[in-house]
Amino acid sequence: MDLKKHIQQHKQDFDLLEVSPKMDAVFAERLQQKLHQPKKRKLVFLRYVAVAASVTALLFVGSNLYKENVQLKQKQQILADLGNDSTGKRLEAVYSFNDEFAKEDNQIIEVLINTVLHDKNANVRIATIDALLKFPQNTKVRAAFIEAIKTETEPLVQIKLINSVTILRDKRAEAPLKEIIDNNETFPIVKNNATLAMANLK
Amino acid sequence: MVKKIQFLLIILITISIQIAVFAQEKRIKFDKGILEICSLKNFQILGYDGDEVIIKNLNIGDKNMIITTSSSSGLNATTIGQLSSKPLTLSSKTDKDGKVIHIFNDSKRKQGLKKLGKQNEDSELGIYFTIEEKDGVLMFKDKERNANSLLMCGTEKYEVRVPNSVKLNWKTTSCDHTNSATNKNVVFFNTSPSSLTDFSGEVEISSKLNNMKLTDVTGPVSINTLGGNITIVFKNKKPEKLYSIYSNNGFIDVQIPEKSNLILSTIGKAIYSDIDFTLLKESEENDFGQTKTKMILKLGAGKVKMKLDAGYGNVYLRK
Repeated sequence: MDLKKHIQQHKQDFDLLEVSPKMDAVFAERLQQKLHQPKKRKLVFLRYVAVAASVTALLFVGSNLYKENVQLKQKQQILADLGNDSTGKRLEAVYSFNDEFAKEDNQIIEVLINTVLHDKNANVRIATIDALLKFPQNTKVRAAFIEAIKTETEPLVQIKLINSVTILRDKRAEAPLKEIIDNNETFPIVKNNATLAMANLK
Repeated sequence: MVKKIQFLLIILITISIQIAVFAQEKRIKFDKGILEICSLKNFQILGYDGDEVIIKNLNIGDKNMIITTSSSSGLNATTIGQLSSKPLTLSSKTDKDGKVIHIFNDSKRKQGLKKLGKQNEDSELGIYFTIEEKDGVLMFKDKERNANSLLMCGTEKYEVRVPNSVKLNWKTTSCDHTNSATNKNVVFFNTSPSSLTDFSGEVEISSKLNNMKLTDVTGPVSINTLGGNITIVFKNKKPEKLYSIYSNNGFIDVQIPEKSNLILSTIGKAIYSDIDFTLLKESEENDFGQTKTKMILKLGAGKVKMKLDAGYGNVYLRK
């Protein structure tokens, strides 16, 4: 509609200068809306925070459960592979424990101790000694090294064990080291390492 | 003193003895189980897709026993002849370098005859080690000798073809597990490395001082040695499964093919390379006064693990 026409048609209303009662109602409604809006926003914001917190908590719990599940599977795989006939599989298990798992799990440590003492392959025994050296305070590990040094006959593994008990500074190794030095069957290079270790332990 | 000289002379002679035979093969049906070798002799082992283990003596020539001595050694045909219990026909000649070559030839006397006895079947084929098969294990081992005996293995060389489906367990020492340093047998190591080529089965190798060369062996491989040098080469294949090598002071030399997916944990007196690895970790360790370098290196996606511990020896990683 043309503005000029509109003003002419409603000239009387404009001249009265009175606000329509309808306007009051509209104004009151708008005012109500304006006054209550911040409260609503705050509520919505709090809702978002609560939802986000719940999702985060769920994700955290879920991720922990997932991690635990992965670790459990990894642990089961390591334990299964440590008992495998294939030397390659046993080595993979020891390296996997050392590189990726690296957690002081009593069940695995027990099996690894048994591996140091009884596995028929020298590489597996050496890799296991390296893996167990990550837990120098573990009394079972320390005792296993002392036991292994008494029974080991493979020169390369003997040298590894001699170096390990020196790193651990375990005085209990002195007696088996003396036996190694006094034994005519011992390879000269092993005797040299044992003599050096004896000097370092004193 | 005289005894010592005599002993040294015997050593000198026996080192240069070459017992040569016709290249004949022994075939053993064996495609599942473990091939266990405990021998000081030199073996060139080749993998193949078959179902037999095939053994061949690689010494070339005829059935002459040739002893080479220096003309100044004071040895003559008579003294050498006295060293042998066999009635040998002897002739001597001097070569252009002044070395006296004594040739013992008893092939004519044996012509048309066969050495009797089951024990002698293998030696007729030029195989001078014991072969046994039991419970899925085929075993090659050196013949038992008395203590303080002289063990000659300097020139004996065999080619053995092994099915890829077999697991190889190879010790370059005797089979007994004594590992005694008081073993007074006089042993001569061959400086040329024993080798394993083109094999895709599982491999375990244990040696004291023998050098070893592996070519196109895909793994899994585990090698341990006190002082032997280990050389790994890939010409047509890539490492596909775990490599684990431990040495006390021998070097480890690995030629790594392009586009390999490796994660290498290396320990050595020094590590040398011309390959553009991603260095993940590096540290130096004081090992009783000697410095050892430790590195974790990655190539490609780092899928296959290679654990190389050369102890006080160097590690060489080359293109």
